[in-house]
Amino acid sequence: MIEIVFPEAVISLFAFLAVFTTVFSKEDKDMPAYLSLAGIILALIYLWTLKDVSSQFFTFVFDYYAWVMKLIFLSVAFLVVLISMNYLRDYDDSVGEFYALILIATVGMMVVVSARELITLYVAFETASLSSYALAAYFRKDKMSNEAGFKYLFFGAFSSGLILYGLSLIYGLTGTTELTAISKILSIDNPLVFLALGMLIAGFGYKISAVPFHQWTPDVYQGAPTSVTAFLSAGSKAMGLAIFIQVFVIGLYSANVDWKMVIAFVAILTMTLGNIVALWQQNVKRMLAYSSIAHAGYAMIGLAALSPLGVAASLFHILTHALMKAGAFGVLAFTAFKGIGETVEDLGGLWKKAPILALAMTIFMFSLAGFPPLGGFWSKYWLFTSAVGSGLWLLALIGVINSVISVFYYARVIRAIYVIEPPKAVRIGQPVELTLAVVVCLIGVLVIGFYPQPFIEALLNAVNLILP
Amino acid sequence: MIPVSLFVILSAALFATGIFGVSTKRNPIVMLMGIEVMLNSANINFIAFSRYYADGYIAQIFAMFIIVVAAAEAAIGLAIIVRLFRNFGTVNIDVFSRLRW
Repeated sequence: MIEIVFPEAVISLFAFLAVFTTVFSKEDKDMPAYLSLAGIILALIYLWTLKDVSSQFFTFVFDYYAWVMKLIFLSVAFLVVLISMNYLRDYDDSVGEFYALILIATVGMMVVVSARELITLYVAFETASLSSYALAAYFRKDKMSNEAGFKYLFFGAFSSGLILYGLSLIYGLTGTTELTAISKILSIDNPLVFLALGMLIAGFGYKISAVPFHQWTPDVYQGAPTSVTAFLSAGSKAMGLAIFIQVFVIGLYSANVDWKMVIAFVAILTMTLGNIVALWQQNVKRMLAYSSIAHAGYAMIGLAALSPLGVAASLFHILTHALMKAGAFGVLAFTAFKGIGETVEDLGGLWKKAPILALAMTIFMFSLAGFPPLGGFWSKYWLFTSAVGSGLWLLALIGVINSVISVFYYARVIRAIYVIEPPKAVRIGQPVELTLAVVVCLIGVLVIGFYPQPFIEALLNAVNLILP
Repeated sequence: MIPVSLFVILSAALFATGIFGVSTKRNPIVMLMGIEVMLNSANINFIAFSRYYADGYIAQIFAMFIIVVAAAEAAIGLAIIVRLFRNFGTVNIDVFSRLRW
């Protein structure tokens, strides 16, 4: 019963404490970070004991699916806090709010996956989104950060407007906000269903940056503080896909003949545009933003396939993508705050300057490109298998072609790290917390790469629970 | 009872006005107003539909939550606009073009 909300309650409490420390000392940059880490670890430990619980507290549903997703979100928050500790140490203002916002956004994401009802879902994802807008604009005196926050807020609020209008039409057609009840009542004869579906696909498309609703992504990812970019890429994108799965696969399952093909089409556009535009990027942050768009396209393949394996593969992709992107942006956070810069040339000779981080970056790039036996390979393997299994040959084929294209720009980063000679290559101290976070991501990618079976089985169990 | 289609037409018109405002204006405050109009068109839908269903109070609660979230969104939006004005000296969105592909 009520104990299922304790992980969220603990995180909220520690978010409050993290802000509260700034009342006493604005100079102490570590205290709020340690408090956040403590909160996340407590929540993780408590969540672990809830593994086999399946229960409901008012509209808050806890099941195996919610449990798996909450573990992912908490791990992402943990990694981002570790990265931010080093990244923000030189920031000239208080940082308590930063960690509080990260924790509040995490609470929002955790509630999203427990929501099986539209009001809860809406309030939860707005909690996460609003905190992310503030995070993107966190560097108040930095013009890039301001601009990123501004664009994120306007595109995000606009997409919320679209989503709400779609949800209001769905309510009008069904008279209920429960997702399973909507699925039973909704009849697809009414033309308003198409309007509602269009609104929802556009609105949630903005949230996961699907083409043609992706324009904000590169700007926001480049302009935001790098540790926030890691959070957006790993956490917010995962939340977007989770909402997509809940609303479309649970709530609008009965209308799936209408939206499946649209999603397949959007997936093709998203993969192709993301990968092709990434080829020309000089700024690695921006390149990874386009790669993030492309990966949203891959994840949508599983939704278009709409088989248990397909949806599980999408969730598996959320997991691997979160680890790879959190790690890669962690390395970029290191180069940014050490003044190395963030273009491809700036990464030149990174293996001499910071060998552990350079090696980790190399493996993340290989994994993002989909080389076996790394985590990224398995997520693509299952996504394409599920597409073939549902008869979407073309989708799988375009996915494979896209993976080949993507090798070129990931290879440019790897080449820069090992081949380009920087003017002076001196060893730079690798900060402990950030390196720890990157190494954790690296271990995650390798473990999932060599033992993918338990992970995909767990996710298949979770998906079988929510698929009607 | 007023037919529900009239409410839907009103809300659709408001929604279109909001989209027009967000996508054509160059002033972020006017864009924020456009977004508020979009959210309120969804509110009109919810309230109108709530009269036609037995447990329509759920839609009214939804509308209350939308109003609250819209207020929070406007607060963050205005805060960011204030920062933009401090740093750029203007709020016309044409100057915010540092981030381009």
